[in-house]
Amino acid sequence: MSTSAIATHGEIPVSTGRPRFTLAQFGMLVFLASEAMLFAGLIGGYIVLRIAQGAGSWPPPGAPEIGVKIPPTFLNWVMIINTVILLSSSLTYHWGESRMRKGGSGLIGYVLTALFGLIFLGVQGWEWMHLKEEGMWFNSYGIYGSCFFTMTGFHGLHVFLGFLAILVTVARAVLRQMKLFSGQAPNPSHAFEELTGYYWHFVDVVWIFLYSILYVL
Amino acid sequence: MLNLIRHRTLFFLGMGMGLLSTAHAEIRQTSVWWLPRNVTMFGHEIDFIFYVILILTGVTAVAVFSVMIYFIVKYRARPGVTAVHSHGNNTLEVIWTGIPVFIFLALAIYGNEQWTQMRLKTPPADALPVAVIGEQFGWNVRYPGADGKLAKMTASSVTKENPFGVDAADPAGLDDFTTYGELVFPVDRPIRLYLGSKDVIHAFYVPEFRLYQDMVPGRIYDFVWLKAEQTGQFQLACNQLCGQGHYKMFGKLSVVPQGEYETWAKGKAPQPTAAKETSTVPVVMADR
Amino acid sequence: MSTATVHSATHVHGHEEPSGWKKYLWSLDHKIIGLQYLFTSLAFLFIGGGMALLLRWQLAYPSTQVMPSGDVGNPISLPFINPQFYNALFTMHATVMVFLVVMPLLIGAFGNYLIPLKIGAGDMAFPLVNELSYWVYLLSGLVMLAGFFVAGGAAAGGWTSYAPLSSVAAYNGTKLGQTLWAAGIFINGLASIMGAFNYITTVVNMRAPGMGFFRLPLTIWALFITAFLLLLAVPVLSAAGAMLILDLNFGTSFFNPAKGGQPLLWQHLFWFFGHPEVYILILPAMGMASDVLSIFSRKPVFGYKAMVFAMFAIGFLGFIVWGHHMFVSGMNLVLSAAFGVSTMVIAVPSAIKTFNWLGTIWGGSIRFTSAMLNALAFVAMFVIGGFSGIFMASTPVNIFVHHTYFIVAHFHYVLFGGSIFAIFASIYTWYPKMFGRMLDETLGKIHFVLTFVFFNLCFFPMHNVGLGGMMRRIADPTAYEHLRALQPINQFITLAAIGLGFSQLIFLWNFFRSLKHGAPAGNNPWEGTTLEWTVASPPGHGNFAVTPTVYRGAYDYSVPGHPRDFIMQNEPPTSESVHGAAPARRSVPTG
Ligand code: HEA
Ligand code: HEA
Ligand code: CUA
Ligand SMILES: [Cu+2]
Repeated sequence: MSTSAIATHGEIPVSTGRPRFTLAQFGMLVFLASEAMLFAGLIGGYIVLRIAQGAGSWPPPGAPEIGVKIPPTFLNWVMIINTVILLSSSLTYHWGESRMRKGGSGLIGYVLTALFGLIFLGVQGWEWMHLKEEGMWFNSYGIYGSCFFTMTGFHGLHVFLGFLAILVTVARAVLRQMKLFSGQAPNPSHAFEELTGYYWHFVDVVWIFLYSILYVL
Repeated sequence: MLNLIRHRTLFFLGMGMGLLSTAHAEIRQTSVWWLPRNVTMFGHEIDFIFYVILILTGVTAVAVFSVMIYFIVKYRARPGVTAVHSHGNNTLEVIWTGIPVFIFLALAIYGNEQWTQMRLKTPPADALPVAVIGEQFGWNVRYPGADGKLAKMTASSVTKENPFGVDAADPAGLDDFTTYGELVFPVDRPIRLYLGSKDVIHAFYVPEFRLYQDMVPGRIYDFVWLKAEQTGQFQLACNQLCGQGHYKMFGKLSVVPQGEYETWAKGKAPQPTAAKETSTVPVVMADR
Repeated sequence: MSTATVHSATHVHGHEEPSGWKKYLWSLDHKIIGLQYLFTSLAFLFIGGGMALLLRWQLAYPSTQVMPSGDVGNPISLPFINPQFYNALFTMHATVMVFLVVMPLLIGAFGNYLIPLKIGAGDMAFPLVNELSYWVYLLSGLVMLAGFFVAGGAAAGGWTSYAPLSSVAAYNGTKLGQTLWAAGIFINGLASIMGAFNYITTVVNMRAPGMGFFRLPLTIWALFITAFLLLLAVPVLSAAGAMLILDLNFGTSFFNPAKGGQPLLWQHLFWFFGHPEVYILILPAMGMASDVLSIFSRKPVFGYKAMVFAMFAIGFLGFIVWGHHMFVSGMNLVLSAAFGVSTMVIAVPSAIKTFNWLGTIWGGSIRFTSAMLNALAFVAMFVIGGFSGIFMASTPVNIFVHHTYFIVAHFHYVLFGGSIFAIFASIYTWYPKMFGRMLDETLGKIHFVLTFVFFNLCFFPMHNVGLGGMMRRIADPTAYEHLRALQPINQFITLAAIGLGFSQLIFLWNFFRSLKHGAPAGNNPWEGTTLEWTVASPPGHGNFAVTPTVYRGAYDYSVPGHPRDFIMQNEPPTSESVHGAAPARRSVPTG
């Protein structure tokens, strides 16, 4: 048994068909597994800390309420809409990509994505400032402030990096668009867009988790 | 049955260890080899498992190293002799996977049984409660007075002024007395420890007690208990890195006959403690 | 068999080789990057080892000791080692050794050098990321060591940096040093992750035609599995490190119980990383030692598949045993018991590996080169270190031995006795490939014997000292009455440590002298079978002039009926080597 696999001579495996992933895509997916563990660490820590607070002390007395209420408060609405915006940015991105694959430039899709990303970051920044005015910051209300700002901060940083990448895709789309006008063949490599897409969708999925545990639960 | 195993174990061990193990009963200063003497009840169990594993690993080590040396000598390269061509053997593979699985699981199960005895069972009701709260770099110790009960303590109430986090309203605490860095345990009586910390993690460690337990701020552990079976003077060591003074954060610990303990305790004035600061709201330690 | 998801042919060698010394700065060639890692981490080895010798000196002749004469300080003590500095010394010693020496040596140096060569690829999947990871690694080292030069000194909370000592500036007194430590860990993590996804992508997608997974040399398997451990464990430490930085500098309170945090959370996060980490430090060593044992026994690795599955088991189980570092931390006591069981179970795959190593040398024709001696020492020392692990894994015994020198003995046996001996074995084996010249065998053997003897003299007595009740991390054992009697042993250990340290100078001399004066190596000085031995030493840029085709497993040594006692992996099955050989191989009647 233990000999069979290494003792077989001669046969050379042939890879059949079109590869599912390019090298870069494969690498990106593996890398995202690592990113997922980063957030898993943060989220796991949050869960441990919050359970340890004991029942009834969440949020701590006097702290601004960020959890979703029925009926939703103004802040709730803002973040719900912000969430919808971020999630739709995945759709617009996907749309841009599919236009691009069909030979278009995908410019509108990418621009919309960039716009949505920017709005998300802006609203997030507004929320931070708003909470800060209400007296909640990294160092207030014990771990309530610590967790909220650290986790949304880490995520925001990722969104920001993704946003930068999307600006590049926009620029590339502009180039492609110009070539379209001038009648030349579009840039055949979509690698950058594909990788950015993976990353951007990942960041969105992370937000679903963060939104659920920070705001809803 | 267990005793039989234990005796046999110790017998073989005695043969193997020769002089080393006889040094046990001596006071530490005279013996630099092997374990210090054990003075607690659970120490026997711990030492027993220790010796079981020692024999197991010892025998395995001798076997593995003998085989290795034998192979090294026997199969050294010699002109004209070629190596055997073998990719392995599944029967062997199964055997040497199966046996360790069996041994290790047996060890884990037996060990955990003892662990359950030591840590998961509630300490005896007549145990003498003693609270030890570490701080950089010393020990706050609290003993019950005549009522044999300590004041109610909450970890979240521990402050600089109220190191034990006691509840001032609790009448049980009125006759408690405290010491700093000095512990006296009556021999042959169960002692239940309440372990906590004011600042960073410290640890309660006495090698002769075969006892180590971290003392974590924000919590008061009440599951450690022990029974010392011999009298003597010991040093309580902080064995969790706690800052620059860590290396000399020791305490005085003596195990004395019951009568002597009572005399000692009587000589101590009750200190209900500066309990006035206590409040029900968790006290936020100022950013130190 | 090979499920290559990507055409490796699509990988284009865009980069050109810079010339002269510049190639050591900017080259994207995996071999040069491997050498960068090698030289840098060897330098760190001496820094980390120097710290070890300093801290050993303090333990033997403490500067804080009160002498009978009433004077403070042993006459031959080093007065600049005060308790805080001592704490910084062992903290940084361990941090340097773990993050800047052993990981980069095993994974950065040998991982980089060997993976493409052994799988028949021209380079790593992402050469740019690869080079970046080296510079990020170097940066992390500089950031960590910078701690020594800031106010308050370097981090002094132990390499495990338990909170709240580490997370509250008022408790540790080294806010900046501790922050730099955490930042260094975070940056180092980036380098590790870059390496990890690069290695995984490379191994999955860029194997030469015919190189099925079960034809990979164990070195590659080990590095491959290690890469997964890195990928999944390191980010958790990064998260914890980020939280630590925020606690120290921005007033968050993740770990500070005074403000609602949980000190044990740090321990859980740290050890969730920390335990896989210790296997990260041993798996590649195991893989490379397996290959070395096989080459110099002139035998196939015994139970190849069992070896692979054992490594899988170690990798997987490694994620569910972290609690054995916390038996006595006060975490949930039932959980402790469960961790006790899983820890015992994880010793089984190590047992499998040990027995298969013995099986590999059984019936061999053993050539006692310096490399082989070190590999044999690796097996023996790993067994001793593993055995002390069994004591600690037993929950009741852990109550006694936790945080004593027994544990210090354990992990130096696995880390030095295991990883470092395997690293020496690998350097002796692949140095000729890397530099085209042989190391001096006589010097190599002297180095081995001295290292082996001094290593055991240094670390074996630590078991006794630990069982005798000596705590880890104390700057002055003479502060304790019950330890004073042990002081002669401590002094003995220190002398042995100095011997051990200075024996390494022989290695250093041999290493640098042979760069110029070693005997020319040729392509295949050890008569190995794997692909790296088919190309020049050192291999040219791009490694293989023609992508090799692989026809057999990595260990066709001493095949009956074959004129030579090794068959290269890329040797096509000629009538001569197949006939007679193949049937004999299939039915090996060994028992
Ligand atoms: C390379 C690194 C490495 C490796 C491989 C290991 C391997 C093991 N370690 Fe170790 N360990 C460390 C590095 C490592 N460790 C470090 C650095 C620390 C301290 C961290 C700190 O606190 O600073 C530590 C601490 C540590 C602890 C915590 C101690 C404490 O703080 O209280 C424990 C407890 O269970 C433990 C257990 C084990 C076990 C069971 C193994 C097993 O994997 C070993 C298995 C191997 C064998 C058992 C030998 C071969 C087997 C046979 C020949 C089979 C036959 C055997 C029998 C039948 C007995 N280790
Ligand atoms: C791979 C990891 C690794 C390696 C190789 C080593 C190597 C050594 N270690 Fe280390 N050690 C750890 C990992 C490692 N250690 C860890 C993880 C800890 C835990 C820390 C903690 O508690 O937080 C630790 C802790 C530790 C302690 C316990 C400190 C304490 O708890 O108080 C001691 C004490 O003896 C020690 C000693 C040594 C010695 C003597 C060596 C020797 O092998 C070193 C040999 C020396 C060399 C190889 C270099 C030779 C250099 C020269 C000859 C040049 C001399 C130059 C100058 C003096 C400037 N180590
Ligand atoms: Cu308190 Cu160490
Ligand atoms: Cu571990």
